[in-house]
Amino acid sequence: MASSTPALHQTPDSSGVPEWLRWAGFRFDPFGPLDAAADPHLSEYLVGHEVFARVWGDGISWVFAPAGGGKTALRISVMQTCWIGQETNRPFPIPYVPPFLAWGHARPSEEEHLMALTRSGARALFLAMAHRPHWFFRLDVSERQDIANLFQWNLSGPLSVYLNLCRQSRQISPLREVLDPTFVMRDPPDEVTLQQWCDELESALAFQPAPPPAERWAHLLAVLKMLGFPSVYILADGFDGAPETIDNPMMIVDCMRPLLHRAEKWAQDNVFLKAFLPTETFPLLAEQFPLLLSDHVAVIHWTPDLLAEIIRRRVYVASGGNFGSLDAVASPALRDVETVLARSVMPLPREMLVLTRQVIEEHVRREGAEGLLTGEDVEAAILQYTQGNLLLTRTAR
Amino acid sequence: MSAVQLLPYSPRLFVNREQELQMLEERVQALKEGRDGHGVLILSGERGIGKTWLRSHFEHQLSQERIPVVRLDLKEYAGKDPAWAVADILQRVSIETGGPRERLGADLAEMSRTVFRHLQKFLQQQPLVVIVDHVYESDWALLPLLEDYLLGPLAAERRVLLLLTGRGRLYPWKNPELSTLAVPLGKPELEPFDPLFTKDQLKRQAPSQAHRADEIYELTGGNPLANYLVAAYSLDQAVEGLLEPVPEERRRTVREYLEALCVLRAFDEERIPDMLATYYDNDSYRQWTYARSRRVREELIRWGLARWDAEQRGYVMDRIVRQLIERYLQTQKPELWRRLHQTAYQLYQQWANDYPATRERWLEEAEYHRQRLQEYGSLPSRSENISAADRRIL
Amino acid sequence: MMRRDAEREVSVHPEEQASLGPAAFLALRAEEEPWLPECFVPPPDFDRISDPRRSVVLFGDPGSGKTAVHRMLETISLGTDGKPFRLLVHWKPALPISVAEAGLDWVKAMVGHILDACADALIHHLAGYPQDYQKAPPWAQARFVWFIHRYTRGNPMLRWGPLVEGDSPGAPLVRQILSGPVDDILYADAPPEYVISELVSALKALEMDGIWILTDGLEGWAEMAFDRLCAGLKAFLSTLSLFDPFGLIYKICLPSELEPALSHAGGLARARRRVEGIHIRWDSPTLRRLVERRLSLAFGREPFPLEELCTAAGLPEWLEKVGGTSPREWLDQVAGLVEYYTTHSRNRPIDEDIWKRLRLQRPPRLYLDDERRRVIVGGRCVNLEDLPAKAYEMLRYLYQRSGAVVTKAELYFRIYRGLDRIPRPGDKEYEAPKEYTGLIDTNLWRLRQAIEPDPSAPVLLVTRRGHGVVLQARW
Repeated sequence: MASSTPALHQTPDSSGVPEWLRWAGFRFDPFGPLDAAADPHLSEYLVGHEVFARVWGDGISWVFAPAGGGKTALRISVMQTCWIGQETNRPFPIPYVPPFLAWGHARPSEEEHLMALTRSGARALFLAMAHRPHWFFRLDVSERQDIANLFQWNLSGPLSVYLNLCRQSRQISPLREVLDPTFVMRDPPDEVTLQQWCDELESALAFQPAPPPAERWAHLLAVLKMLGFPSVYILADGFDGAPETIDNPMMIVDCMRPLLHRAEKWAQDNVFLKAFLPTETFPLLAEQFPLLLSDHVAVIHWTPDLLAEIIRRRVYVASGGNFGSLDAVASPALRDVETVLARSVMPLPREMLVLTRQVIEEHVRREGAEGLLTGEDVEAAILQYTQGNLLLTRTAR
Repeated sequence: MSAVQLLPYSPRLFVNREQELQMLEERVQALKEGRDGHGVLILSGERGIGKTWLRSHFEHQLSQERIPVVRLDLKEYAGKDPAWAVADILQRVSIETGGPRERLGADLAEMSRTVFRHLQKFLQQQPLVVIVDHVYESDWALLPLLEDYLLGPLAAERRVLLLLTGRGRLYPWKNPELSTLAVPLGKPELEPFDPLFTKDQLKRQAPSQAHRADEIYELTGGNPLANYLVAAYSLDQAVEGLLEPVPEERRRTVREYLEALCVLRAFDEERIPDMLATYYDNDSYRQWTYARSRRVREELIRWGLARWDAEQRGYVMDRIVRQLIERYLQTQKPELWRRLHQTAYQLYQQWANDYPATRERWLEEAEYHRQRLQEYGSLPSRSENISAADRRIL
Repeated sequence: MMRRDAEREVSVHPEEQASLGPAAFLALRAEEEPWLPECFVPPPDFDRISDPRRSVVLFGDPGSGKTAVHRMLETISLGTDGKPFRLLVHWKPALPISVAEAGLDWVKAMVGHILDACADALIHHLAGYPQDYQKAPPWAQARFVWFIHRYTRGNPMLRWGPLVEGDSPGAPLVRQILSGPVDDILYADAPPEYVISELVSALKALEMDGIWILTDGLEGWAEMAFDRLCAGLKAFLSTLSLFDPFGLIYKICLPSELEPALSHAGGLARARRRVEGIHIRWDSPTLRRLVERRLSLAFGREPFPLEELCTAAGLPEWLEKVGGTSPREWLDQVAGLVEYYTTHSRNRPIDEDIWKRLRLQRPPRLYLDDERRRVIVGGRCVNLEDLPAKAYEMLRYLYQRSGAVVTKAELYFRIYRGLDRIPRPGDKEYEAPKEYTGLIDTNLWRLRQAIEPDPSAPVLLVTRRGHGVVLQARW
């Protein structure tokens, strides 16, 4: 293929920050990825352990947090935890972000939810199985046929399209890109095993007509049980991702209602709804579904201490456990850097990361890619951050 | 070779730790009865606090109850290729549980699958306790692989009790069973003995010195290893005994670093050069670069002799190591001890003057060193005293 | 630094540089400056703006260089061989019929438009680089064909007829794509983010890193249908982050008057940061570099320090005062000097006296925003709410008569006395000049303090001795 070398911006980060981080003893940049899905160390950073403990485990659970308050990060973290290991002895996660744009409305029926859930579950299982073909190879003929039909009916396109993509590209990454770029699972199979899986899966296909949505959902659950997954977690997130719901908690509750009516019944079958919702929906749900919300509720409230802890935790992980605060790489004129920063930002984790990175950028800009952080770096960063904030929060005319 | 001989574990020399043993016992009973006894326990604490003895005692009890145990000591894999190490560990787990001895697979994933296929059958017959020693002292390149291919899957098994022991940097496990859901043995670490248990320990382990129990406790704060070493050896040798995990070829240098830094409540790369300059009476250390100081700090962390302390906002030495070394200096090299405190005092005074934003913090440190010198009749010279105005701040 | 790289990479080597002369300062509109990439200096936030993996909404005042930045986003998406390494798609949202209509259904329709725009950009790209398509793996080719057929609105053959008819090297390929068989890659009800992900994965097989949707030129709608535009954008921004992970990145330039209405809403709200909102900002050192780079382009000399154009010590401070944070105003102030430098001073630096004369001839541009009671002078916005009412009325009167000499008597009798004519001696309303000259002078002084960059040497409100004053308003 003719090369088309990018003239600019080929380097992912030429700010000098990576060099400083290296100088300071970091193994990687813990402040870089603002997008939780893109962060390979997400599960190691977990702050607020009690929240995770409430989400993890067999039971319906609820996480309420403000917009930008880390719901998606937590959801992805749970998902990644489900995918640890080689076997099917952990819960099967169905990441469920309502497909508002496909629906074109925000009042889905139960059937629409079930269909979307089934598609999402099929997508997750297809990707997981592509990484763990041995789950498929040990099945008998009828079980294989069940799996092949599940994919044929519920993926966004014909099964053969995805299998051909795998076969022709001879790798798994294009599959991940088209199905779920946030999907993370270690140890993809080698090329030969992948080809074998594609061939055997395709040959198991029986081309039966797709049953109605409720049956397809039941079929997915049966397949997961047959594969040995002890439970299923429905990780519901992104309900505020539509114009109608983004600032309207009542609308979110209405949108979720069909799922909520099913939640208790599902729980009896080891299918657990785990919802990650904006804080504003909490009182509405508590009022309308008091029994569902009687347990396993976590409300994330970001205090300055907790925000400071985010940075300390990331520093600890990225420094290989050598130090647990930016104080270790700050001049004696500067102490308790994280608390100073936490008091200057909007109380949201991502904001804390933005400001921390700004401190390092200011340092690099002023003094180059070496040297301890100074009070001036912090002041300049806070000024920059505040200015940017003011510009974007000017009152409406 | 060190002249100091550490006392090997023996059930009859073992004292205390009833609470921890009871907790272990409950878990084991639950495992045996097929109740909810699985999970992960963490045994951590300072150097010499008794982790190894408690673990050995637990193993002794398990052997009496005929519960299968696999013990892995990660110290054996220090410096080895992480993938090779994990492959070897998987092989050992397989062999020790009666599984396949060879050809587990072409890569770690396949090996892990083979081992767990075997373990599934094994666990249908009996429970399993897996003890992993020196976890937190291990290389962070090894632990993620170990987590992915052994510890994570093990932690999810319903008939496995996993005991992780170690000292130093807690590792940020990805598995909730290993991190958020793991239960510490201790509060949250293993605690030193109180004076009564110290006496009990000495009666069994160094009976001729039992009458010195109070004096020893005052020096060691109840750390069992230190209790024994101080009772059985000179202070100098006791320090050597505490530094036993450091390879012999590095031990002398490491001890010198520790002696230079032991007077400080917390240290970092900025403080290391001044303290070394005083310790070696050589000003060229003051010219040390940050990178050079960092190598010292990293080495102390590597051997688990120092760690970052959130409260002190600096690196702190292992409590018992610092306590014994400082006492050693104070009694054996008093002039050096005084000069080190004097240097620390002056350094913090200087920082208090130079850095108004953190002035109070450094004055507090300076005051600590002034008081230490005062306690032992070695007040800093008048010109170096903290000003009256600054005393008011404090 | 990435910013520096952007400057360096687009700079033209001295010996290759053909000088443009004063033309480099003539239009001062990015869309009319084909040479822009050669003299572009990125604003301080350019790294964030051009983040290849993040959607950005860029707000800017008129003259803040939004369009220049937008054009540079295109330029930096080209490889050294001039071939784009991402699919660049120009797209403008339609206006919702009403504010209430701006919901999911409308967004879904907009996404349909975007997919159509992507198909348009894709087929043009493939027509331009047919050899790339031929080298792409079959699975990627199948996706291109499918995408173009399924997401082109209308009949593809009619739509892309001109590409088929021409004798360009790409015509046979376009013919082949339009007439060949189409595989069903996704079912018709597939969510749009998965449609995008299929396209992006195929683009990656062409060594392209994704899709950038470039949106600019919404100023007109912002003036005509502010509320509908805001409602539409809010709705759109609330769903936009869906696409980021799949490689569809938006770079949307908006006039800054939309910023307050959008900054609290939807995906742009800072709390959510689903989409990065950036207000384009410039600092003086960057603006000076921008001027000097353009001087280099004009005169073919690299570097070209400002002092070589004009030695006046006060010039940098003047530029800061007059130009404020607006690149256009900085360049506008220098434009007059460049013209003189070329035509009169024969490439010798302009001295202080001449500069002062020239700045009188080319004062900063001035615009009175009566609705908000403020005046825009060059790149500065001056709030006049504290100005006494009569002084403000005087300014408005002068502004309506820009360029004309107005006497003090006229100002007094018209503004203060409210008369429709100036009385003569003997008339009942007549007052001698000594009665009101002080009052008018005081208000003129106040006005100069407010609007003049240097009140001690006025260039806007200029006295014509013995005649009156004139407001030199230019816009």
